[in-house]
Amino acid sequence: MIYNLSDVTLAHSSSKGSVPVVRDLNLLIPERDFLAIVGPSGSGKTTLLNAMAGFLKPVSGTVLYRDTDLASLDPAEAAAYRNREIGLVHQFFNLIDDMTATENVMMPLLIRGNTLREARRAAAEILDQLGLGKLARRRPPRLSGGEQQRVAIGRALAGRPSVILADEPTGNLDRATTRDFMSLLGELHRAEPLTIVLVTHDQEVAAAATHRLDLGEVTACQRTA
Amino acid sequence: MTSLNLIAAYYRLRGYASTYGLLLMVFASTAVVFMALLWPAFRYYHTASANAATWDIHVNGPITSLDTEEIVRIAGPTAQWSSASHGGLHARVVRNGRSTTNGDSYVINRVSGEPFALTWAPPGIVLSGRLDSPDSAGLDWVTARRLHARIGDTLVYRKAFVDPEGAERAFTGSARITAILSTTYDSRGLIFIAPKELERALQSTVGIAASDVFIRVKQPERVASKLKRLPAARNWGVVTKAEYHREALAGAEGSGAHSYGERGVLVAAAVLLALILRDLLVRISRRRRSLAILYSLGSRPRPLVVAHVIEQLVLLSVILVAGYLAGPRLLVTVTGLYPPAETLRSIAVLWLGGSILLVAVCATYVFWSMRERSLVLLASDLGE
Repeated sequence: MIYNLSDVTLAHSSSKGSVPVVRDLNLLIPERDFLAIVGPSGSGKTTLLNAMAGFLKPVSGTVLYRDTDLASLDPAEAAAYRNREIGLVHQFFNLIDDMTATENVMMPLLIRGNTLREARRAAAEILDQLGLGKLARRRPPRLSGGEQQRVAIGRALAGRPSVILADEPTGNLDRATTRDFMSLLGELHRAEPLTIVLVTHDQEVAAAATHRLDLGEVTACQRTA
Repeated sequence: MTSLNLIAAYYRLRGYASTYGLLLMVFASTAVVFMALLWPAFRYYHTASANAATWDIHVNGPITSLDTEEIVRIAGPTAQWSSASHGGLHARVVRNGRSTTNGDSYVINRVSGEPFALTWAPPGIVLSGRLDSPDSAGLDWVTARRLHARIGDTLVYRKAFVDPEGAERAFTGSARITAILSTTYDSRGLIFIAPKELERALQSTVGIAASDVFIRVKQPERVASKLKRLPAARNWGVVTKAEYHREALAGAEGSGAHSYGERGVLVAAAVLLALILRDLLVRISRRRRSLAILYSLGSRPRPLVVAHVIEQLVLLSVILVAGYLAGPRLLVTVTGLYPPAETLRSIAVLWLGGSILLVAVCATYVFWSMRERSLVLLASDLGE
């Protein structure tokens, strides 16, 4: 199993105290799975993804990544985990506007310690693979929503991670672009040794995944491959 | 994952572009803060200090040359004094000149529309050249530049005044420019002429020699009461500094109220400052978002802090150097005020203080957002 969540309770912190959004969740995700997490607003989809990214520690229970408890990682280890093991894709792309598409894709590699030359070469290859070679020198504000999301995917793939965590990646795309994006994600899943965990409220997008978890239907969920 | 890697990543690519923008914004806001908030206080301080140093008794009225001699006799041999004359319909007496005389008479005028006014130059403000002959004249550097006048040129001047009967009169003279002078900010357009030449010019006139006489003396109350007993004093106002301050404190004008023009400049500066600070805030927010993205990609907080320490130091250094070099010139260009050379040091110190204050605010904000907890919150909010 790449992820093993046991009796996980997650909460939002607010001025009124801690508000649980996910209770006693049990979840096993095998290697190379393509899991869609669905549910209504407020059901804890993004919170769950943040816990899997190591941003959020559970109130109770454990989130294991390949038998490592993410809550036990110190900041340096958590940073290394995010840099080497996972790639994040967000609804609003979260590209750095001051940088070109190539430079955005280079960032995880530069943070990892690769040289500029190595990072630039790897980024160019990825952008070519995603059909963005001609747009490599454009900055995000001059790219369409679909193109920005492909750059974000390129950045997520740059470090050759084991997992892609995607939070509403199609939430800001039109229907045609959404279909193209999901098609791309499907191809990547088939071609690369990738586990994909995708949060969405769009049933059509969720249908592209091999498994789905509906947080709106369960208060305690147990799932195995 | 070293600090250097992140710095390379962030600054060797496009990070510089936003740094330049930030730098420009901080520089501009420092300038506006300086203009809007510090300059009026600075100006008041210098005006007040100059005012305090200039006179103890002010005699105002139709004062002839003979009257002046009598006033000087009463003031005593150790008194320092100056006489000032209205220089035409639009001229205004300047009382804030830095006048440190040794009994020589001088006239301080500000010319507005008139070609020239006359005064003797205080020795401390000569930029270059010497005022050492009866025919020598000093020209303030602003007027010298406007007239393209240089040391050695001959200056022909015309002085207008209104006699007691209300008739407009004038005298003319000429002098060789032997000095270029620094001036206080509100003495633009002055021409300084050596005492003997001035005396000759005044003697060529009929009737009124001056409308104001300022005296520095150790016992102003005693001298003022003597002056008030002079026969001619019934047409004069004789006011000691203490009386002046009492009147100033009692009146609205004495409270330091600004003119409408100055108020307009202050309002415009405040609006500009608000716009610049808003833009600065937007840029810092964008920078925080970028840092959150880097954090989500696996960067550690410490390299981010190192990168920002470097950025803040660069910002501070550039602002300080640019401010020191360009600040006073910017001040002159924007406000039309001409600070004397000796006040430039004060401006530099104020600029230094303002820059450090502003950069400290920005740095504190950045460091606050660099805390691990803040970064986690920022990064986890990226998906929202």
